[in-house]
Amino acid sequence: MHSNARALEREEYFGRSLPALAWFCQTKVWTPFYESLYNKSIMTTHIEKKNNDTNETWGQPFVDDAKISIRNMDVFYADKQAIFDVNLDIDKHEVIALIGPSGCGKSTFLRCLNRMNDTIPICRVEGDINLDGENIYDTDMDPVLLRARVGMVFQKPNPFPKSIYENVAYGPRLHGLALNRAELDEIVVTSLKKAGLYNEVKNRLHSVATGLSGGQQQRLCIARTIAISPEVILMDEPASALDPIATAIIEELIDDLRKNYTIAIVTHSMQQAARVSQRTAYFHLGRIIEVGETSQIFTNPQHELTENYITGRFG
Amino acid sequence: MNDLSLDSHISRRFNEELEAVRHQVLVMGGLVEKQVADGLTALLKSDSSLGEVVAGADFEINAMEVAIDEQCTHILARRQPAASDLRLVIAVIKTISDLERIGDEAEKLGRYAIPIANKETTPTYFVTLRHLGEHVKAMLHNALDAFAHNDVEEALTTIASDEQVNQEFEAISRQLITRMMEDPRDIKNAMQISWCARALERIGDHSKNICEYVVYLVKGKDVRHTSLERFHKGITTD
Repeated sequence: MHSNARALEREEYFGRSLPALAWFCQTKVWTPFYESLYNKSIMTTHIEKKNNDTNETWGQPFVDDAKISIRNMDVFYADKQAIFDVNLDIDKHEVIALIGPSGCGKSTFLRCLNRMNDTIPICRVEGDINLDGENIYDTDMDPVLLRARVGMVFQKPNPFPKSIYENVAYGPRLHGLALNRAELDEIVVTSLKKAGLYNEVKNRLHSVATGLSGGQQQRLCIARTIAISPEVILMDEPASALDPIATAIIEELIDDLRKNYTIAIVTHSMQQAARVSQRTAYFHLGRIIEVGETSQIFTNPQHELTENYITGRFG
Repeated sequence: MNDLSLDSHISRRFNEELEAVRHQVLVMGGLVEKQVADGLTALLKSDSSLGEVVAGADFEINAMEVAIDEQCTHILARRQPAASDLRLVIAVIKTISDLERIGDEAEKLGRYAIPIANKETTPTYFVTLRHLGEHVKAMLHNALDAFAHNDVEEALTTIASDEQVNQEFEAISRQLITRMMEDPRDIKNAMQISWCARALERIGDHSKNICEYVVYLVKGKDVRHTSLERFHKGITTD
């Protein structure tokens, strides 16, 4: 009703004003005012030239007492360098979003944090990556144990072709986290609850996991990851294959998980990065251009490239 | 991709929408400037017919405010602008609100011009009013200029000139109070002139607000309610 009234009012205004405006436009008095301003106005919305030096990372890449600390990281695929001199800290219990155009190295970067790139023979990682102060590429660091501490959720939900219960129980059983069946049950139920899936599947824990919807499968993968009590969860575009409602549920979940875990999320959706993260890092051609508090990056980024990407001036 | 630096968005329509909104604000600014100039002329030249025209023309400015607000809402809903685009839309929404208020003050000038024209008024008041009016017109023009060119320097200069406008307003008020004490028969006339001076002073304040939005738009710093020294410190240490 309100909008109808407003619409009528507007029509009245415009109805009355059109002849007046038409007359107005013809007068010689109005045009000088308007022209003097309009002809000189800048027709692009490029506000001001910002920093465009790409040799250093702008913003605040470092924090005190970081969970993961990366210094001078370079990554090569055979002879081709994919990541150039990356320096970044990831704080405890924060969600940091990694954004950037396709092929800029963010997924490569993410996979280095739990040595998933070890599975790619031509991939070579140089530099220091420290988890709680210990270098993850140390000879006495077990990659399997590392991946238990730094879990990963992938873009396409990939539940095992087993029951829901078995999916979640597999990890804890493998790592010997439960002494008996009762404890294992408890771990499964807690993980499913934390992932926000328990209420939907509590009556069919032993049905096959591939029967779930996309969003549920992805939450199952998250439950699977948190069942082994990691410290860090890496997410590579976790919601890109999901519909908006499932995406919203996952984003709520990420916010909840932040209390207990540190989360690094790679995302193509800038709105998602803006919604879920506290800090955002912008990647461009293998370098980190800018890192900063999310609200500051999305209202007033310091670097020209960040501004261009965020506003859609180039892809 | 390294060499590709477009000044416009990949979405051409988004670009056009933003440009259209900027353009509309400047058109509205032109209308408002004309209203202020006419209102002042009607007052100073005792032209009551022009005063009536000014009083009757305010609805166009109100209509533009409504229309531009709606355009901005649509942009926010459909495009989720970020960074400088977001600041542009926010600055536009605030600017048109101040422009509409300036329009209202100009309408007041036109309205009061009618009774004032029909009386005998001492020329000295008109001299001080003209002075104040010229300053205020210049402030408004500079504010719109600063918006059109994204010019922070001009915005800051204009903000600083509001102090002078306030002092001139104080001077007129003192003059008028003295006059009212001297001759109580002249109180009604003096009050009306006082309200006109107040309207001009308010136009100066609104122009200053527009300059503050320009600074926010360009620099991303909200400089409302801060002193000039802290402006400069906050902006130049960047």
